[in-house]
Amino acid sequence: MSRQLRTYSSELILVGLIVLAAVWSSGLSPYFLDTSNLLRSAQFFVIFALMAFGLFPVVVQGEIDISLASTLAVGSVLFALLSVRGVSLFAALPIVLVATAALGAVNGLLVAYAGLPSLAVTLGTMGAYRGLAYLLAGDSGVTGITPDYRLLGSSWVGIVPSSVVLALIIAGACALLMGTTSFGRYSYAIGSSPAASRMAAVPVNRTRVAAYALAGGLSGLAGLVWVSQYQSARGDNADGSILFVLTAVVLGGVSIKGGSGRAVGVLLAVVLLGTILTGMQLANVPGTSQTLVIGALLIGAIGLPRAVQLIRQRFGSGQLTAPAGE
Amino acid sequence: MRALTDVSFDFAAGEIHALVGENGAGKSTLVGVITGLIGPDSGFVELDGKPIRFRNPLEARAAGVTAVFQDPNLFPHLSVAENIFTGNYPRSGAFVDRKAMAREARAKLDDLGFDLDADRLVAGLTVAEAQFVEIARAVDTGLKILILDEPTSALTPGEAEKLYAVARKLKSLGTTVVWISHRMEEIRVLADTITVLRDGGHVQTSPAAELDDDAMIRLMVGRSVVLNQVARTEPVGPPRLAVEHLSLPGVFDDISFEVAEGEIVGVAGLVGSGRSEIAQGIFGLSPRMTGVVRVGGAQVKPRSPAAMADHGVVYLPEDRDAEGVISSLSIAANISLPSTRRLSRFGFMQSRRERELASQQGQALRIKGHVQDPVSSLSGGNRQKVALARWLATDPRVLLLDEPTHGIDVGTKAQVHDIMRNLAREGRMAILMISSDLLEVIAVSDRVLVISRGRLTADIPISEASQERILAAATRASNGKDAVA
Repeated sequence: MSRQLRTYSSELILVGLIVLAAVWSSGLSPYFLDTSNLLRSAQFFVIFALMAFGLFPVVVQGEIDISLASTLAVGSVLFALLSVRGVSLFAALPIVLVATAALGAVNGLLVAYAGLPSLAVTLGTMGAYRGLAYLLAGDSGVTGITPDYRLLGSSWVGIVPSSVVLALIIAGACALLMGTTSFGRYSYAIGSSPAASRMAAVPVNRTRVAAYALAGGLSGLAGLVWVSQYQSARGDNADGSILFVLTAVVLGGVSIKGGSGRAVGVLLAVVLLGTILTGMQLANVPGTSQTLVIGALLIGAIGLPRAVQLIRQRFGSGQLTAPAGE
Repeated sequence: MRALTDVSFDFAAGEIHALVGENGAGKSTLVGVITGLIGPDSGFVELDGKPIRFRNPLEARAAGVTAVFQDPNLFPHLSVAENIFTGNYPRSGAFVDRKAMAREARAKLDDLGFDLDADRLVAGLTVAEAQFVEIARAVDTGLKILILDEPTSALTPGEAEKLYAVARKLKSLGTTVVWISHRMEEIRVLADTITVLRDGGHVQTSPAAELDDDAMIRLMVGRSVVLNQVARTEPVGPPRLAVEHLSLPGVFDDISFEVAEGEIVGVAGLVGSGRSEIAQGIFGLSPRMTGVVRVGGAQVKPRSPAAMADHGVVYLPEDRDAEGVISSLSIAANISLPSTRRLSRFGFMQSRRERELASQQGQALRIKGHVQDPVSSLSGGNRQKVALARWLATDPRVLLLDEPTHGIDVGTKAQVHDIMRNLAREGRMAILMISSDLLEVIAVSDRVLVISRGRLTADIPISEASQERILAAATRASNGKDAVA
């Protein structure tokens, strides 16, 4: 039992923080704890959650992808265009998912096979894909989305919005993928030590490309959620949301250096960030200040392991970090 | 582990003092102690009759003691002049006086006889030129002792000659040049005094004229430890791994050999001779390598480790912590990593089969610890067993082992030797074992290959192998030609 507690300590801390944030938010507004309000708010964060689950394996592998919000924009614009041209959702879904996965795979190829730094590569494609979305959408964007495309954002499974159900399904799939498949094994190994993984005959490059393609595809799926909720698509969709997404991944216990982290942590971190943002909205905190808080949380989440390490070094208990002797 | 025990001798002013010994004899440790990189447990260093203890190489440099290592330690994006004056740029007011710096750097280089443009960036220099920059940086007013660690290992004969001239020049100025080298011929032409180290101990210091090559080699190898040798009874089978004309420009050249089924072939050679790189090339880590690799008669292309592992050829790297295991992962995860595909169904890992595989391998190799423990909790010997176990789980046909017992205690070492013999004789694997431990090479191998400066210089049947013969081949320049040239 205590072993389990230790293994999931970061998740338990997140649960505790969520409770704290919820108490704080309900103190600001009596409407916060209203169930339907809660679920409606949750719907808003599904888009971020899908991107976060896409980014999660990439970060586990020790890389990063900041182009995902731009990929989402390409996805939402493509869905909108196919919708107004009368293509059915079932035909559009594979087309857009393959297209956005291909955009992700381009990042992966440049990082894995060309050996370029992922931050620089995805900064470049962040701009390029954003430009592509603007080109496709035109100045005024795309409106007049057909009802089948809107279904995801306007239907309920019981009292739960369909998009929230989708996010939970993706979360479960992501947990399975990283916890039980060979792709997951390879990802943690690569993130822990790319050199040693290569030496152990791990297909390092292919696994990297797969992770980037998955991230692109999930961003495309997030584009569908966007279209279903906002009933329009523009080139600037989700601009700037990568900050939220990356913060959720890191806050969820995924080391920015790679090699560790779990899907459930990412899910909890999205819930925590969602609670904090909703609370701030209820308290009428302006959007700019919200960005400041999220940014500070990201730095905090990245800095925390280092701070713990420094404190340990300073105040003894050195055997916790000292390597075993011969 | 004790790297150095009770070493005492003197360096005289104005001499070239050669420091020789096998891999692991303690040369680098001694240099570390002298320059303050490593603190000795006991004993002291005296300079000009006064006891000193440098806390770091900077203090040593300030006192006139500087070491230049094999890999030049320079700033690649700065110019030659800037590198020479790092940390003490000539200044005018608050600004660096670039003209004076270039002028002084040029004077310094000319003085040493180096033909080098002071304005060039270090990134564009050859290894030899970079080494010249390091030496120019070290040569300062008040330089008393200059330690050169394997200075010519990456140089062409012409470049080496230049360096000899510099050493002689410094000597004439009263500097002591400590020259660490494996090359008999250069020790012969340069050294005034020779000190032999062995197993971290001081063997002998004598004038160069009183020590011939044979005597020197005998002093270097004269060890007393005896390792078990187990006579083989089973005959070896047909060739399992055959390589022909393997070359990697600047690293190794025209390497051909065979390893038969059930045979252990030892590979001896000095550190830096290209031994590891040959094994890595066969394992698909050097795409630029040319030549032919055959596994069981069929030609294969060493594209990647994954491709070679599919052919049953696996490599156990020397740096086990950085490359051999992933220490943050569990023993089970490490052992199953290369077998991931075999252990999955529809992409899903079957954790029951994984645990079975891990505990089975763990028992076979007697790995201490629970399979769910992280590898970081294990000792070096057990980590090495994990690194080996993960390959044995894939049922390989050819094992390329790079220093399999490096840094492992004696008991585990004997265990690893037994495992290797067992794998070759019962398991019928072909084993190529790279080792710096000549006693180990002789005790375990059926045949010994010797690599010197990227070339195969000897192929010795075990019945004729002796430490002296191996070391002589390892220090020999092959036909005066240099693979690195």
